[in-house]
Amino acid sequence: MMGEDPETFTQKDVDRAIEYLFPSGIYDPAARPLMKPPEEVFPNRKAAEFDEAGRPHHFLFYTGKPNFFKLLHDAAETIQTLYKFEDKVIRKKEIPDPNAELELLASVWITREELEQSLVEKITDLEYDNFKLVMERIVSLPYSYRCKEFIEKYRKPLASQRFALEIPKPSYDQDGRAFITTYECLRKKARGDVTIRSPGTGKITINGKDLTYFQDVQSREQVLFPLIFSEMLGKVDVECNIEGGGPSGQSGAIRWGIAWGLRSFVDKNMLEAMQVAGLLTRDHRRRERKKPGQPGARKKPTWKKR
Amino acid sequence: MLPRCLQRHVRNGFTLSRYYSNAPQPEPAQVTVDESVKTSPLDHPDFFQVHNLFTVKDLFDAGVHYGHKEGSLNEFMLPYIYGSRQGHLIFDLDITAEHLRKALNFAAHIAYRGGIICFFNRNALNAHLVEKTAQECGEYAHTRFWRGGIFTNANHQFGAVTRLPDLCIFMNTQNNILNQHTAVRDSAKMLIPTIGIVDSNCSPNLITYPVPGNDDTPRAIEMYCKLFKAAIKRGKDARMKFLQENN
Repeated sequence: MMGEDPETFTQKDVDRAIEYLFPSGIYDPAARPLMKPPEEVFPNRKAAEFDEAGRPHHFLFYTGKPNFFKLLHDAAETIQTLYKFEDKVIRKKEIPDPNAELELLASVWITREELEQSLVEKITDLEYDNFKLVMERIVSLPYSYRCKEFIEKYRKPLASQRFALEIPKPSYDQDGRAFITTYECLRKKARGDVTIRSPGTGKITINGKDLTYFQDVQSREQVLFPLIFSEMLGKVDVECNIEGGGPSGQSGAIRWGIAWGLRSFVDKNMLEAMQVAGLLTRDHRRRERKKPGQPGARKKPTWKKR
Repeated sequence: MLPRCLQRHVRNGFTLSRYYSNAPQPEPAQVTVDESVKTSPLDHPDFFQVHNLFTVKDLFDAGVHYGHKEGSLNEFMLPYIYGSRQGHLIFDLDITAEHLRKALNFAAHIAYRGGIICFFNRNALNAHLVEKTAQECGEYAHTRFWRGGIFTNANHQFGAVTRLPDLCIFMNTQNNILNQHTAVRDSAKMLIPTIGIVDSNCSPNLITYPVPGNDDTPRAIEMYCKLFKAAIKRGKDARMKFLQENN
């Protein structure tokens, strides 16, 4: 149908087809027609809870929140196993393996809503606090790494760290220089692409010109800032093609493009520093429209009482 | 040679005798064990042989005889008290053993009939053990905060027609030192039989099968859990055997 290959027909193609076949002017995207796997559309529901004799399947059924209390039960079980193991190791006069320690800095406990979704049960704030308390207790034990799987089930990675994990490997050109191109560098109305080549001499080319493409000092500083910050000035070459917008938008787009490309050439500590400095954050602000009855987006005429 | 506590069982024909109660006692029925009776569990005084699950010595070793301080005594517990030592009440383990055997026998019978058994305990120290026992028995547990109406308004609370437990076993009958567990009252309202470990500060009045004994010590709770698990297992095994023979 529609000249598409059914073997490689993905959800994205389905969405596109639905948008084409059922054009909708409804403002809220959630109200528009869609075709998705039912498990994504309908929230999970609890399966049948009783057998033929009327006996509940779950041994904590009468608590009303069997899945949640089963989780607490399992956590208590884990703590007891860890205590037993610790006793055994102490009797052998050994110490915990310092290399095996759990790394939990890059993740947080799942939120109450996520926990509710995974348990298919509503839980109160107090119960969520109890859940966090008992999990923290497990983590604080010296041999908590032995039940890593159980802990990881209830943790999710921090958003900022997730980007850092997906750093692309640079490609190599015919001169043997590593290069990486960042497409879609956007800021205000400006868009373009930035190519970083390493090793280089610090040459910056913007639309075929050098840094003097920008007349004002502020824009030039914007372009140079990620290079200076990461101490890569004079070590890489930068080539940009940029169009649309004004000098501030263009320089901002280039700044983000350079910083994004430099991720492949700097070490982990510098990456974190760049993250903290806000170099890897996209600036999504756009020009706000002018409103009728006032001279600008926010500006009002001078107010006179009478 | 039977143990002393068992001799009394045989003498009384397995009727419960409250030592200091002046309530009229039913006439002890004559127990005649012949072949036809043996096949019907209800006609046998101890079909599941629960009397051999424990001895009074076991109870003593588990610290079941320790009560609370004299001042906290519930007067309905007086008949089960042996005496007081250094201000602490001591249970008469002979009476406890009798009551416990009755309770175990009843639990085994309920399990034999395919009933739902629910374990209760509001002491956080022992909660995990009780839950684990219930899971191992294939039965149910409730060791958390009791939302009102779980029994009395069950169909609404669970959003479906719900079968309630056929037996509630309370490992302690108090929420805290002051309040009785609401499930004791609710079970009585819904005519659900109850077995309860009642300490010297608890009221045995609403419990169908009160077992006087220590309800705080993990050692004692472990003992009760072990016993009830064994009794329920015997009941279930007998049920499996019965179902296999009749199919």
